[in-house]
Amino acid sequence: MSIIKEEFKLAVSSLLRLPGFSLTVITTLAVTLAALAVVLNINYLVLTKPLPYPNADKLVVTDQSETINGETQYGFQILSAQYHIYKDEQYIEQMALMSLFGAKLRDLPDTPYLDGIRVTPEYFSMLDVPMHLGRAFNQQETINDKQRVVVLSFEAWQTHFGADSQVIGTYTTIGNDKYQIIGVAASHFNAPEVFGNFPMFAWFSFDQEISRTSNWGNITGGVNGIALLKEGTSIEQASSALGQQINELYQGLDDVAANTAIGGRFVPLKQKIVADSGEMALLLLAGVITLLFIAVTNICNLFLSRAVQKKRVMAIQAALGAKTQHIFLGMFSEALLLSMLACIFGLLIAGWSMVWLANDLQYMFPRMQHLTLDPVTISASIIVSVFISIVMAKLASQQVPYKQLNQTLQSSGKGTGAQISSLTRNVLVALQVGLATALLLGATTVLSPAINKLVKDAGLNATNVSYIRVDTGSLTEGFHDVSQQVKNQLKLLPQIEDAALTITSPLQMGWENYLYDENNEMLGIVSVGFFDENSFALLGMPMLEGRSFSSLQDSENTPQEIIISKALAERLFKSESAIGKTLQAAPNEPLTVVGVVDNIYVPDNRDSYAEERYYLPFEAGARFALTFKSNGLVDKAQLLEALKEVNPQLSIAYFETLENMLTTRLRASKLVAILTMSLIALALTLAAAGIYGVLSYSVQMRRYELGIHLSLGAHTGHVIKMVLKQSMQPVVFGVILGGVLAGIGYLIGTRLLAMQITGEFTVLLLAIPVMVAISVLACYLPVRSVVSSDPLKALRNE
Amino acid sequence: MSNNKIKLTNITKKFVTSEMETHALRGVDLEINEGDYVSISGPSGCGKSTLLSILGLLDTASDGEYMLAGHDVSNLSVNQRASMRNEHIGFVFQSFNLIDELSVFDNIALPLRYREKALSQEEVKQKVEACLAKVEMTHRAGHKPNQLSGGQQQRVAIARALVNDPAILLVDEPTGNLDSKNGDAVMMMLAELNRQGTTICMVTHDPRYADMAKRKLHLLDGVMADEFKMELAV
Repeated sequence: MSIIKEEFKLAVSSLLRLPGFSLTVITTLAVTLAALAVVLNINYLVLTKPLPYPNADKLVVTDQSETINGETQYGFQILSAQYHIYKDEQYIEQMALMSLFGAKLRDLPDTPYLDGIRVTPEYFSMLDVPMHLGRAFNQQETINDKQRVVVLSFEAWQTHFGADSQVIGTYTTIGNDKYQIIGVAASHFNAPEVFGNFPMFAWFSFDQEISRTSNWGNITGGVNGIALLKEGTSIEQASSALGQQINELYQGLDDVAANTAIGGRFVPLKQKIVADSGEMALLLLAGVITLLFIAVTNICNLFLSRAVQKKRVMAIQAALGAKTQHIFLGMFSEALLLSMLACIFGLLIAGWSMVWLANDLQYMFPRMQHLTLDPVTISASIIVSVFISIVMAKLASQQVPYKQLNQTLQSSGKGTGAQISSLTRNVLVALQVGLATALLLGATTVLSPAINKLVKDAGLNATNVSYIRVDTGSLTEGFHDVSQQVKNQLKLLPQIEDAALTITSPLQMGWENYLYDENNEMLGIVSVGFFDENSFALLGMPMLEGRSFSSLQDSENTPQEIIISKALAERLFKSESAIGKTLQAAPNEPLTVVGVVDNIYVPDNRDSYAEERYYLPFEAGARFALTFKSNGLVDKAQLLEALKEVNPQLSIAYFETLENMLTTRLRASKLVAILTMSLIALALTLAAAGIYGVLSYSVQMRRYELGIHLSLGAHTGHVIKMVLKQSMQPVVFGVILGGVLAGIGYLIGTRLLAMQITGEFTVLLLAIPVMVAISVLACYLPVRSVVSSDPLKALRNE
Repeated sequence: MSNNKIKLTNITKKFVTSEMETHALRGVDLEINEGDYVSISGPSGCGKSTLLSILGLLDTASDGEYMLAGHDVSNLSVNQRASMRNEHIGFVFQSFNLIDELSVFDNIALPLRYREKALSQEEVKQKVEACLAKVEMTHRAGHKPNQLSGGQQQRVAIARALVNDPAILLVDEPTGNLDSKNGDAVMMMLAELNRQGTTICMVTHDPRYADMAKRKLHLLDGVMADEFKMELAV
């Protein structure tokens, strides 16, 4: 024990004498370990950490498929089809039916909106939802019981009900109905993110009649189920059998288009939650691991220099009888001290970063509410640090020439006898360049799509345009007049230049509907928007052909018109004009194409844009909204006042500027861009510093030689060229190595892991000159310092 | 009856490069017994430091047999050689080879840390203080080597070489980095140590100091020349 204590004491005193070396190692490793800790935690949460529900590995989500003209898409469900699955007793042991729902809390002064889902009682038992107050739904509060009960989330209870412990059993008006609050979920419960990464504030009972025939009109991603299959039933069996059954029900409906079918595509719950984010998590991990290798290569160089410095001391120790393990212990003490300090700092940085990033990361990854320095992450960081220490100590202690100690001892460490071999230096440079190039190439494949999304013009004018959704309260009729009055009332406000009616936000690309030709042949499921006659002008969407809708003033005569996007027109009608053609949004309800509008490019979770779109004339209902263009800030209170002028029942359900809405949609892309650019910057900095370190060292070793060249009359340019030529050889090799590594990574990603890796070739080609330029600079700077000073200094090795 | 500490038989050392082969030692035989004081001298490049390095297990012979304190050390592993060095050899270098980060006390204690059987703190203190007293450096125990003169550093190096009670003290040009006054003082110390029973083998190019040994060996072009024994006047 005493020898270990002595070695650590010696290590502390030695390192205190070398602040530059110590700080460089600690900083390099701390920053890298911080990045590693964050990304390891993300990967653990997304890919590995078990879901916190009973039988989590057996739970499945009852996704459906829809096939139209041979093309299949997934993730859109029909409530009655899900109800059929819910009632099945052959394959389903237990199932929770879910449907997205949200409404205003009308009894509260500011009538906040409560986002949640309707669920059946099985939801609580299957997920073992812990309750803070009250109880979960019972079997008398399931579908068709027409009960209106609600369980609040802990956060909603605190925020909207003042954490009142007497809230259980009370009634509150949600939307237009009274709900009894029967429970408050515990604060640590996290609802499974089946519908996306957003928080859940309430669980409502199903209060409507649902049957196998009642709800076939809507095909939506807002309905789904979580099921436990019967023992011995595989996902494929259940999916296939129940898919067939719901398709038979579907085909039995009236007006079902030919060449369409629905089916089942059940997926494990974990897979549904993770979705595509697993790929991004792995890409991030690959990037950070590459960064770690670059940092380790850097530190190798530093430790080799340290070993050269310490070679004489190690040789003395060996001469006095120190065995290889004693020598190793000496270097290991230094390496471990530095890496543990780096680990501590790194974890502190990681912890701080997690707090800062958690909110934004949830746009990219599920389960980010658990992002924290958990024991797994801390242990992994410590293990990596200890492993690096062992590698560095081994590398450094191998510099002792045990069989020829006399050479080191007799030279006394003077002159250039002790130095890192040129092969080692070249390998270090080539490795750093290779790893940095590989990371750069890989990162650009992630960065360029993100940047493309960020800079892509949406195709509509969002400047000074806002969106307001109107809550019609308990109104049950007269929506057409009310909506027109609201539009006119808003236009009276001095800041508002124009207003247009709609049902959803113009950025809502996910509302999709069937499209048929005049013969009721299904043409596809297409994104649909509901606009009035001046929506297109207000949003700056140029009409490429034809005109906007006819006037919608007459509630009795909604024009039977349709406007389609350029992409849709090209697919359906090729080079023919679309104007005057007939299309249908529902069978036997012909609509005339009156206009073709340019495509818009609204960013959403998908990789591509929904360029195919059609627009139907706005028809007022209980749900309506407006977009308006203003010439200044419009106060929410002013808007509310304007609504109340029309009808006291009206209030604001949602209000936001289109610019902010677009920014929110681009948050994930922005985060990807920031993370990737940070990774690139860090990698290039470490690689450049590492290359500079190695080449600076080798130029120092050659000072005397370069001094001779200069004193014999060589121009500085000639000397620089000579050194650069030799220094660039491992750089060129490294760039080629980087390309090969990137290629291998691409093959592993696409062939083995079935990842979608894309990237523009031109951007990839840009990465290589960047790497070469940085390497040239790192090579040039050390030699410049030698040639720019007096040759005599070089000859004297000053 | 003399107690044989070192026996070299037909020791050869070759340095081989792609261009040529250099024979530093050719068939050297040597025996050193307990209590001997042997000097090895010769012109520059004759192989004397190479011979001492091989004796001290700091270098490996190309051929031949080496028995140290009764053990055949010709083909030991790295750690076995380290153990033999620690247990049986005390080496004094021309350039002292003290560790600047350690105090005088800790420098001298260094070989004790590598023993097979560890000593207690008290035992280490006793041994180090005894050696410090032998070389008259007790008053500098807390100093660092770079705070000492050359002569003082060499005395510390001698104390370090003695601390583990080695079978033999190998001394490589002990006065090479010292002025004549300090050199004389160090040589007097070595003579005194030999008088107290320490076996010494010393390499030197200085004929005055070579003469202070009881046995004088001469190396020329890697070959041991005739021995000249200094007979003590009775």
